[in-house]
Amino acid sequence: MEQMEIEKDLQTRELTLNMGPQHPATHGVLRLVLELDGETVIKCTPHVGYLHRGTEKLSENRTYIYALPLMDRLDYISSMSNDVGYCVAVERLFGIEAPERAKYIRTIMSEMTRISSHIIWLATHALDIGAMTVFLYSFREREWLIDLFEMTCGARLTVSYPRIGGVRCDVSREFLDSLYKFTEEFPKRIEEYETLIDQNRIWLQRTKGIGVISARDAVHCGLTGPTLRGSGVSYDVRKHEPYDAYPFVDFEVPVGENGDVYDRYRCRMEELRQSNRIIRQCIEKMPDGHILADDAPDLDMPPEGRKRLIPDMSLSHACISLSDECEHITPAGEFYSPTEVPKGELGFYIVSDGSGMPYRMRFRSPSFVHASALPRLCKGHMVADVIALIGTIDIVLGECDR
Amino acid sequence: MTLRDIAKKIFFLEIMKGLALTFRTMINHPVTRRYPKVKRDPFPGFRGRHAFVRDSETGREKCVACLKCSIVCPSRCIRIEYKETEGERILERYEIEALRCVFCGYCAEVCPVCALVLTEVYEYADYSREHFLFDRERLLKNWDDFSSGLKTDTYFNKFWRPEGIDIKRMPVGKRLQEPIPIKHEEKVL
Amino acid sequence: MEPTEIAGLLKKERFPLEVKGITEFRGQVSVTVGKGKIVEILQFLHDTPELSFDYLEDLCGMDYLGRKEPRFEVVYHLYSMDHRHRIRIKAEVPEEDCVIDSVVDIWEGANWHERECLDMFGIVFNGHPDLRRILMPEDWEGYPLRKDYPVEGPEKKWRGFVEVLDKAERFKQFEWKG
Repeated sequence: MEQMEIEKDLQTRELTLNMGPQHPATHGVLRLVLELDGETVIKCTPHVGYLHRGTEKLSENRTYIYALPLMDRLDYISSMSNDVGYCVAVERLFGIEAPERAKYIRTIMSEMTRISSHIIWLATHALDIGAMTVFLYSFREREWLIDLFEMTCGARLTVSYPRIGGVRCDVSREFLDSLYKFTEEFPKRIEEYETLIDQNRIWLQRTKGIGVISARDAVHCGLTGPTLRGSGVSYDVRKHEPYDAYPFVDFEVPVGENGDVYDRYRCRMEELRQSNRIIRQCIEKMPDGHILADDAPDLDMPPEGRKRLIPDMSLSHACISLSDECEHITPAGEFYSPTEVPKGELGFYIVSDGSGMPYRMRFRSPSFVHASALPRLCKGHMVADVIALIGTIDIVLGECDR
Repeated sequence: MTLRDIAKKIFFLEIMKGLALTFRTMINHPVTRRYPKVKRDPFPGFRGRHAFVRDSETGREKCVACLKCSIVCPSRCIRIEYKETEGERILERYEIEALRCVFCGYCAEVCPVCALVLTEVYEYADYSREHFLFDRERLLKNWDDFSSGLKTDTYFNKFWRPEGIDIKRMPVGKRLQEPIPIKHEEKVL
Repeated sequence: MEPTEIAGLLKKERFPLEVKGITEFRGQVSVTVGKGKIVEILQFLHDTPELSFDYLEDLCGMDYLGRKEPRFEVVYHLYSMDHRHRIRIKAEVPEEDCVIDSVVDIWEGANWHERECLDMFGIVFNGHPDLRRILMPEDWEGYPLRKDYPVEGPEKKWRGFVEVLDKAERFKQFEWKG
């Protein structure tokens, strides 16, 4: 009788814990509702949509060039990659070919953004797990890269630098010299970061064996980028469907084995070295020439299908004059163009009906798909591991919610 | 396990290596800058506060109310009103809502007479929202503030005629644009 | 295999009644099918070893208000990592019967994409484990990405928005006394 009463008192219940939208470790406004049994997670439900700004609906009402600053703000950390992806997608749809020099410049910018984004990933991931020194050391390098962005285009974070058909303005000699010096010093800095955490026993215990996902499951969940490559699948859009200057440089794609947090960390650290190598090759092989294609659309592209008349050069003021007949000013059709951004595969599905505004613009963002894989990864782990897992899938809520 | 592994486990060798790196960095020169005592000049072409360029002949703005900047602005923060007489447009009201602006630089790039510029001034915080509605007079005043801080004799913004772009793509006003002379006032001692 | 060959295979051999049309633009092939046997078509594309479309890249909706009938389409982008080929399947969904079968059993990654399709277009997926709104608030009325939905938002404002606007008006009167 007494034993039964004691046993009744010892029943446990599940605790529902809300890791709310405002939390220092969720990298944005992500809400997780965790059901815990003691310290172990039984079920995890992510709620997204706190940063939804309606980018897809807004771009249906803007011309192709007018919608470019919206693309910057999708994944605000690596804004140059988003712009390059959008410009490549529209160029493929229209059938425009960017000049050689512009392709090399865009490749350099994409790789600089990859390094910069992986630095933020490393800094915040390590900071959440507890290694705070890495954060401050790696921001030293990021400051160098951001200063180079400022030198080229005037803005540090949300640049609107790539243009449909090329880039906005040319890079100077000073930029290339400073960047070359960066590529010589950066490998030593990567070794510094690795000295701090790579063999550290605390780091190994917190990351090895956590969040294991098999290759087949990862492909079926739709994961891409380093999150997929940590499980052993070698899928990289730069090798499978190359764009810009990627066919002309050689680099390797690092692949992990076990599919846990440690392997994904090793993949991204190797990617830093490979990006360094790509930038060096691009600077050495940079050709001369124009940076904007001849048939690239102008900044003041008309929205409806009315062709713009060539302005009368005798007038001292150049005004826009449009003809009265309606016709197609852009090719009509649809195209899906994938790009390799630092987080994974960013896909642009653009449907054009011939006018200056897209009929439908769809962004397939990697963070959206990775956040949907969180419940499967978190099951059976402890609350502290949830933090490590949010860091390893590398989500940015701006891209997840668009 | 080898001797090395045992030594590593007992003496925390990898943690010692990390600590050695941290102590070495403590002795080195810090990379941080002590803002606001030490400031860095922004690079030329930095997209900061908007300003109307003063024409050296008339002393007023050069805007011809072609409405290109208003149409191309992605956040629709420019409002223009004009009067049309004898085939010419006269600007009446020009307002930029700086709090809506995303500083993309499209307005400065598309202006055919190089009237609008994004200067390199970034420290202009204020206490009320009304001060951020830049009208014509305020934009001209921004230009005066900016040009009095310039050390060079002429000014030519990077986005008026971007390098590498074919000159045939640009309208007449931009092709013929010369660097603007800056008048430095003599200081009365 | 070439994408046009795959499309031809689908049309002529396996599902001649379901395939309504094949178009090609700049090297990418789209196959328009009816929504009746969509799960079988996609299962066939996933399981056949020569095709082996193991990666669902994207699942989205399209609205063709006034341009063509039926009004909605659900677009599937499939990619094969082994063979490196790609295809686009478009399933037609009429406005009166806005329901289609879910493919979560074939690809787990379709889960959130289908939820977003419901949220933005109002297309219901049969057999989905947890079908509810994802990006908009739970009590939002209307489907934003439809063509007849205004860009500025509906006239009747959402109650949470009315609260925020109220507060913003009050805070605008704030004077800094310095």
